[in-house]
Amino acid sequence: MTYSSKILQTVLRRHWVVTFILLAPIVFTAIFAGVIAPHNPLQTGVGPALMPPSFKYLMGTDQAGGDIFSQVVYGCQVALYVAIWSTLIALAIAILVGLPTGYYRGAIDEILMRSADVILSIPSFVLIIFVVVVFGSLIGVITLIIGLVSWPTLARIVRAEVLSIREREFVLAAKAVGAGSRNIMFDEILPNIWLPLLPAITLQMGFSVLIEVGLSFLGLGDPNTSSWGRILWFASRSIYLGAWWGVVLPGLSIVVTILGFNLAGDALSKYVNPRESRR
Amino acid sequence: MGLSHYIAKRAVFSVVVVFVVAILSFTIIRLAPGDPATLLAGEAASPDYVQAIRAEYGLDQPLPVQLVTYLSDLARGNLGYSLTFSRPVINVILERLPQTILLVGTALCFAIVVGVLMGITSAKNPNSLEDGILTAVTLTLYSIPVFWLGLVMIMGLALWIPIFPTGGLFDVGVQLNPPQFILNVGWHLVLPALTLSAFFLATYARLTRAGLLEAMGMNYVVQARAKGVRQRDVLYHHALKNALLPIITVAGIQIGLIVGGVVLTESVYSWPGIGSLLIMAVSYRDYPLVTGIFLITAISVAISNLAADIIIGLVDPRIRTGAG
Repeated sequence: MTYSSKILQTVLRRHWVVTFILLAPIVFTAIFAGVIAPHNPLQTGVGPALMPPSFKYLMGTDQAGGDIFSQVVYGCQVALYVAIWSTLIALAIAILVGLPTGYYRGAIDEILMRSADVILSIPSFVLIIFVVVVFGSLIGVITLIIGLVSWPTLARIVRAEVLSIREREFVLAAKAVGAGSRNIMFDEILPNIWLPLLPAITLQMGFSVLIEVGLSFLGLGDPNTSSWGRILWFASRSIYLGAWWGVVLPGLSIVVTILGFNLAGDALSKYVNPRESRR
Repeated sequence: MGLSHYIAKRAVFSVVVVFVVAILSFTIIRLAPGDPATLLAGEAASPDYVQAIRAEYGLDQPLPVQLVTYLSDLARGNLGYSLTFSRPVINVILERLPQTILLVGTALCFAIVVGVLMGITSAKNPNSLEDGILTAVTLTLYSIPVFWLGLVMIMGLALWIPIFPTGGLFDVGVQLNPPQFILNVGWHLVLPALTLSAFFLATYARLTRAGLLEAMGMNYVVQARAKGVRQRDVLYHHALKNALLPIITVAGIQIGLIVGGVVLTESVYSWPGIGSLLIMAVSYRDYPLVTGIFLITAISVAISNLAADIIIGLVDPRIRTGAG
């Protein structure tokens, strides 16, 4: 192994470090957006239109004279809001579906898991567009619908874990002392499935951001939020005028965030599945 | 369980999926705030037209009757009437479908070939410099939003270094004979297909690498090596065959996922397929067209899934016999 490859390997193995370096600034920026952003992200005419990046406008201005840096800063809040809430919604449904299907098996398992398969086979992005167009582009609606279509993957993992844990001795012991099914599911089994779920949860967070950003890029985002996709939607019209900054700089923040979530997922799955990491 | 039983089971599942999508469309339109007749007729419609729509869809009837009318219309291929195009929805969609199939087909083929080759290169020398670089590249490709990649490609390879066109299916207003026309379309296809394939290429590369590394540790591979079969032959003849199975499965599952990528790619490159049609339908609030596209994409995805299931059933006897 050459020296440079050793360095690269070390960096890649230090997933945690890379994840932290990528995601920490995003979280920090989201929390302190009000302090960091020099302007209101939704305000137009802050400066002249289509100014290239400068000390006054760190990421330049868009065609309406809005400050792109302030938009990107507030975009961190939108991304994290969508990532966290839609994943929590998906996770709640996944647990409510996955626990009983894995625990009771039989008919309820068959029905719920077939429904999960059906939902996985529906072109979800088109469904999300359809729902958002009919019910309005509120960030809450967008987050809810992303959560509602995303639970099946998580539910499958929950079910698989429940199937293996329900055979363990401590579950048998709980049954022996007369614990009810609901107690066993929520108090005995649930606390033991978090770890294997973590990689899927982080990957889902990245995926949720991708969907929201895609929607906003099509002009279907919440007009009252400064989503990164919305910035790109505006900027994409100005690329023919040579205004590259509106596309390149906000786009990089999306890539950094999603790469952060994906690396976290990789790191977690290696932690959970040590056999993988020895390869 | 024989192969035909297996295929029949998967076919029934596909029909159920399409049926669920039809019910979903029906429900969403009726749950919408406001009057569904006004919604379907369009915002600028005259009261007479709204009345005509109400009668045609039976919107003054009770809901179960509406559902039956709707489903029997669908069964006869009647997806409604598009106001934007003043033509039946089904005709508008079928006109756009070939362009989308061309784009998706090209992108998928490219992604599978290049992705598998990258995976093999990685797995040949795991933890080497090549492997490290390829892992980093695939992880990054995996995290790039498809439309951003498209915009960057347009800026780089169409505006800054003008090698490729910025969008469209072919050059409008230029006289082209058939061979020139095919070349022209191919030239317009390069950037959209590359853009769409990036995410899937990364997925296949990762899958191939993981599959090969797992297969290389299996007893049959170890035995082949012990018998003195060359490393190369073991990799290509023994391990790769088994490592490729999950790729077919995942490719089938991902057809649903690829729809989102198609919508965004077509929108970035003004590629005249179903995806850009959907965006047009949305901006005109042409609901019959939107629901029609939802249904047709669902049917296309169901058919592709079924095709992948059948291929898997043919290649992997464990699936159709229910073992393993």
